[in-house]
Amino acid sequence: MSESPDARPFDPIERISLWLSASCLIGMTSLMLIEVILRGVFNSTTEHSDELVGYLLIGVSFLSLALCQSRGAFHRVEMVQMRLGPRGKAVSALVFDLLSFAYIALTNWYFLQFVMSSYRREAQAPTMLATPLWIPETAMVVGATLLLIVLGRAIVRDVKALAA
Amino acid sequence: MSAGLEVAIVLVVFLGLLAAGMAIPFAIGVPAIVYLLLHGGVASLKGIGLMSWGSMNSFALTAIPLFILMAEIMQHSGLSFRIYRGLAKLVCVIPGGLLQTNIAGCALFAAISGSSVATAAAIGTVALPQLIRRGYHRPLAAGSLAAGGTLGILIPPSIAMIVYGTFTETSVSKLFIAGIVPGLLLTAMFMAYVLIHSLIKPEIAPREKGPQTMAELVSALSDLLPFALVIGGTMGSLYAGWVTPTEAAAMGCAVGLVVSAIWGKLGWAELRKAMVSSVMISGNILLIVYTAFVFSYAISVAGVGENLTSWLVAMKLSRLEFFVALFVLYTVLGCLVESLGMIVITVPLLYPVLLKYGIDPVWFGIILVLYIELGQISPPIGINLFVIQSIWDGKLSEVVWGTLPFHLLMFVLLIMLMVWPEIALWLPAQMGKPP
Repeated sequence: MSESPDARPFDPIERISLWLSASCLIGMTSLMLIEVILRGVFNSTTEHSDELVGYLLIGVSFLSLALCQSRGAFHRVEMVQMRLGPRGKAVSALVFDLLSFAYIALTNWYFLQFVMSSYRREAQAPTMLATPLWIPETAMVVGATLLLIVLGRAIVRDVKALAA
Repeated sequence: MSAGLEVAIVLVVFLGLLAAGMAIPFAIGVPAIVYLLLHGGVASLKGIGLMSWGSMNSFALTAIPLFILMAEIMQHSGLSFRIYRGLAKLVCVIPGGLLQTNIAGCALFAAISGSSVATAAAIGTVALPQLIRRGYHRPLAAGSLAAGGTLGILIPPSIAMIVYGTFTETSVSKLFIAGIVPGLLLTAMFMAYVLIHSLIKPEIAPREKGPQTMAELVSALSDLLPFALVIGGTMGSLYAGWVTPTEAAAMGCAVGLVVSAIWGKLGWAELRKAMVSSVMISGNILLIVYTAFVFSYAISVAGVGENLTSWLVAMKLSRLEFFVALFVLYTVLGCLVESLGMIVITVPLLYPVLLKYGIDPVWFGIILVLYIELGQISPPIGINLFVIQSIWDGKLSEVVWGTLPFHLLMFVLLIMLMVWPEIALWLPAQMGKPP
């Protein structure tokens, strides 16, 4: 399933998205390896790996979205698109980007409410680490916001393409 | 508006957006939000934050990006070329030659990759130029790769099984182990078909020579050694019950790094490419899973699952009739909906019904994966057809024709699994308990 990233260099938003999500991915791998080694060799455990890996998964899931959108990594069915002319493609791209923007903006608003609520309530994970939950939850807001920026840029590009 | 009509509208909107070409995760998410608004107004959106956090903060899902990273490291270091080269020497002596290598190569690559598309692309890219150059039957060459690629989600690890396991709270380890026997059986059936076909019509595949010297044999075996190490390290420890699927995936990344550094071409540039594609593939799949959770949340808020269960139970279908209904449903859906979309849209709706019928969730998971495999080679949107089409110079219709016999074999395996569920369930019953 190797994506073939296009040759152009990464822009700042893509770079942020890539580095943040890649760091989460490396963190997940390292934590799990440490857990396996500790259990297998020293009959011990970190106690926290399941909790932390869950947070890092949230990081990978949401922080990677801007890169995926910007580089066209989201799968789509091309059945109808292949039969459309250039104008049809431009119109459909604008409609899809507007719908996606509205969906993510709405979702992000409720993410923000959720994180603010955790912060105000000083909500903590019911674990030994007692992680203040607003910290990992913020990854959802940051990831969705980066995605919104990329979608916003796409909408501007779609409008320019239609106007040209 | 009745609940049934609301669901129908949402499904039509989903299929419409999907067919029109909207990115799959958004095509699932937008109708889900519309449905929430239709059913419960703005107030129903208030739970989205908590639902999103609760559903994605899942240990079971953590295996997905790690298995993807493992496969990407091995693919970018050029090891998929070695699989094919090694197998070509060992397997091509069987009538069918490199067509047999296609199937065996896909099965082997499937054991390090959780994705059908990755398997078809990795083996297809290496195999197709050689097959065409040597005069193999074109539809069968393309068809064997498209169909062989589908083994990627049946032979563990399998992203489809992780997603199914997450939605149904079924043990992913058991699902993985349950996929082994059907996966090997399907591989054997595919190879047997190629063998018989090439014996009846020898012109479809030229006779190939196997290893001529001991050195060639050793070289072919050494090409397969890296995969034996990775597969043994991940699936072996999983089967023994030493590790969870996520830990097995992390071990696979570490072992994959080591074998790629030793046997492949792994520098900073390859690692960077592997990381970029892992992040993008993971983001894509995890967003589909996330939006499916939103969809699932929407239908649970509306109580659709319970209503559907009551309705189906009130119909008093026998187990066989229910299976026939599922068979029709998934055969049609397979032609219309992308693979993960098929799981995430139907499983939350159907899972309560399965429990009412006393259907084993592990067994059903394997059946569902087989339906998805069928969907991946069913026109008009079978994704593997397009993967192969994109890497050769032939027509899509040739690829479709080439997959037809493999379609029929998958149906045969489906029937065998329905008649003898032990094909899938025997091995998981023997495995060790995970930590």
